[in-house]
Amino acid sequence: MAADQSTTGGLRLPSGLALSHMWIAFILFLVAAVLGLYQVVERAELIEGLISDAGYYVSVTIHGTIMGYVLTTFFIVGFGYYAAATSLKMPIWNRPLAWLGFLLMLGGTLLAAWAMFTGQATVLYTFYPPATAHWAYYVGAALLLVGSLAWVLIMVVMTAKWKNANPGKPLPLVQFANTTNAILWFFTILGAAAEVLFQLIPLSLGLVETVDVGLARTLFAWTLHPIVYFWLIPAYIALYSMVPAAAGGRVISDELARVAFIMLLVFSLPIGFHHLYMDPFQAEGWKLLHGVGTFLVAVPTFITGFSVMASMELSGRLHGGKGLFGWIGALPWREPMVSAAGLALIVLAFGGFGGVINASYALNTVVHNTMWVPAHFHMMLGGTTLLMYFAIAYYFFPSMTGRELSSKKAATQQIWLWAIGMLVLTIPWHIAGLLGQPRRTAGSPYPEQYAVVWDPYEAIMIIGALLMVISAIWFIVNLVASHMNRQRVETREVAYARPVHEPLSLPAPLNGFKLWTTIIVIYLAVDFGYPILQFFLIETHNPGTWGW
Amino acid sequence: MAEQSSQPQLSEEEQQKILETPPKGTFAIMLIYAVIFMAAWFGIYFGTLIARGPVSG
Amino acid sequence: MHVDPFEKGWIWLVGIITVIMLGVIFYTAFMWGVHPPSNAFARPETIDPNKLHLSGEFAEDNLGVTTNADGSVNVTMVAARYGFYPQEVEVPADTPVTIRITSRDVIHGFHVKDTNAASMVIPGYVSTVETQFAEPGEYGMLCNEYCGLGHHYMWSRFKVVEKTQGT
Repeated sequence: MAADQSTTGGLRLPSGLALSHMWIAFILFLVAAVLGLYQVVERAELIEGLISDAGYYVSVTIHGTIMGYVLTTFFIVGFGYYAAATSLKMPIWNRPLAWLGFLLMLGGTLLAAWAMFTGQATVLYTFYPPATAHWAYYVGAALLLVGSLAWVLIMVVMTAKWKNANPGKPLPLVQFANTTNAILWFFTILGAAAEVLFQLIPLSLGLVETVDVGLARTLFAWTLHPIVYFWLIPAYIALYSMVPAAAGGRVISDELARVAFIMLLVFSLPIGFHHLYMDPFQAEGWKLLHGVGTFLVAVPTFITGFSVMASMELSGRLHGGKGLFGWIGALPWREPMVSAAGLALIVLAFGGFGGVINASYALNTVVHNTMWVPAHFHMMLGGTTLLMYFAIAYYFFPSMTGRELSSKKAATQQIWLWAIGMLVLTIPWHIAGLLGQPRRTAGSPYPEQYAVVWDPYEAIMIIGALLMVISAIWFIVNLVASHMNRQRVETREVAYARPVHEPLSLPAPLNGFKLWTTIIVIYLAVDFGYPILQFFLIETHNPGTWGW
Repeated sequence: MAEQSSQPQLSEEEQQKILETPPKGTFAIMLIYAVIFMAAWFGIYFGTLIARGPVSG
Repeated sequence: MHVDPFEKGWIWLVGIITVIMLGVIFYTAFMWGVHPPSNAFARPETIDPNKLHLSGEFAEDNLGVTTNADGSVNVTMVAARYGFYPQEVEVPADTPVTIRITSRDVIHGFHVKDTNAASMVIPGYVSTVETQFAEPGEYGMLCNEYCGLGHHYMWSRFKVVEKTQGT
């Protein structure tokens, strides 16, 4: 009996909503990926005709804005709606609000894109005045943020409704983590939102003449760390709850997973100063405090790595794997979700190490603003996170479209190609950074003696980028082919993994957010209160706007 | 997307035994990772940062 | 809460590793003075970027290298599109060097390649870096924060020469 168009067991699934968000994300991702290839080729200066300072910096602006803000936010919101509906088995609360949010996000994106593509916002993708873009870029960014708040509200309301309807029962892990992410996002954007609303929009409109750069960077740093956990949490949700299902295993510990998500929520927010270690307007004490917090937020990732691998070990043993490592080969690597997880963990092993290096206070002197930094975040966002986003798309698409994936093999191979390309791109990139190559450079027109040592790494990186663009195109092709696949699914239900020990009840802190929200507010006040307040107490001499 | 797809037929008992088996392989891998991690961190901290001379301000 | 004993062991190990790394960081910070540059003790040191050249520490005549009575060296620089001024600096090896720098226009960053001389350079604020160079040689002082279309052309020469006796 074929499943009804867009329902499962009478439940109306938000396929249209989720697919709309995801397709915007993926199409723009493809555009940005091609720009990435252009950048790595341009700066190696191998092809005369491509060399262009303005071209490079406009490309970085667009590439960074799409990859860091648009791809991510649209995907996470779409994923969030679908995960909420399928894990809670509830319809989306207030669909008109969800669509309004989508339109605001899309409108903001288009506005910012206009500014970037017409060369009026060549300030890259981080909000660092006094270099000032056209107001449309900042208003566009603001609309993107405001639109995403619709999702935040809907997640919180749906969770509250489910809990009211199921008193005393554990909130399904997927939605617990999803709601964690919504709350995280709300607190994350406060810093950049304040900077955009009170500094950058007035500045770009000419309503104020000067800007306190120290304050601007501090506010942006507020957002800059937790945003990467906003990106990462859906990947972790997939690692905990979808991988064991795809691999034929179980979640090793439901409660420990919740602890990990709570730690990510609380510890990722008040630690932005590791982005300001080398800045002259925050004191050593504050930097050390944030540094300690940064080490604390590494802990839930170490836990997640172990838990996810242990779940995979379980799956492998259930598949007949024997001995200490036999389970690795026994895993169903043909499943896109399983391959993605294994590759994501390998990349995380490298990228996590790089992150701890960045966090290590004075050690930042060695790597700050060298090519090590973009190498790191490409590995983490473009590697670990995006690998899982691909896998999530392949996992959700059958349910969302009502049609089976056109080819699981193609999906898995596309994922492998991406992972290989990413490692070929980012490993030499890290080395070039350690060898002192500065970041955000359209080339290396320095004296030969400084720059020659970076050349071989730049060349290898081009190969990595090529593999990745092929993989990106393949990804889109796979999804389009799935839309057109004649073979329909038997059920539109999404399978989430069960834990080894199903909790019958949970203490309030592992099932709700009141305690944690309170702690977050206090922790943020302690870590950011005075460091922000100081700018209003001291006498500053602020610069005016500059172009590029 | 059912849980068990094409695995060897395990009895309920065998399955339960596996579910209770501690993750020794994972622990071994993570232990090796931790050792390499610490060595590399100390290597960069003392071999690069400290070796390059004093830094403060 | 169901947590496997091996996972518990792992969490303890992670805790110990974290304490060791933080311990090294705190020890080297407070016992050896190993810090990234801050210059914001009671309050950050501010300055007017529009008036740098007019008078005071960063006036054009005051830029460059000066030697103190105790032999230590001060380097006073200004970052402005697209160079670090003065564009050639020479300091003795094995000597405490204090670099003070600020920006005339937008945000810059500098890193003297292969050394610990590095800092963000923020218009409105003064950066201070204290370090020492063991190896004589010619180093690139490269800008590492996007400051406009000429960012990648922005660099200066940082020379370290043998320390002469009697200083």
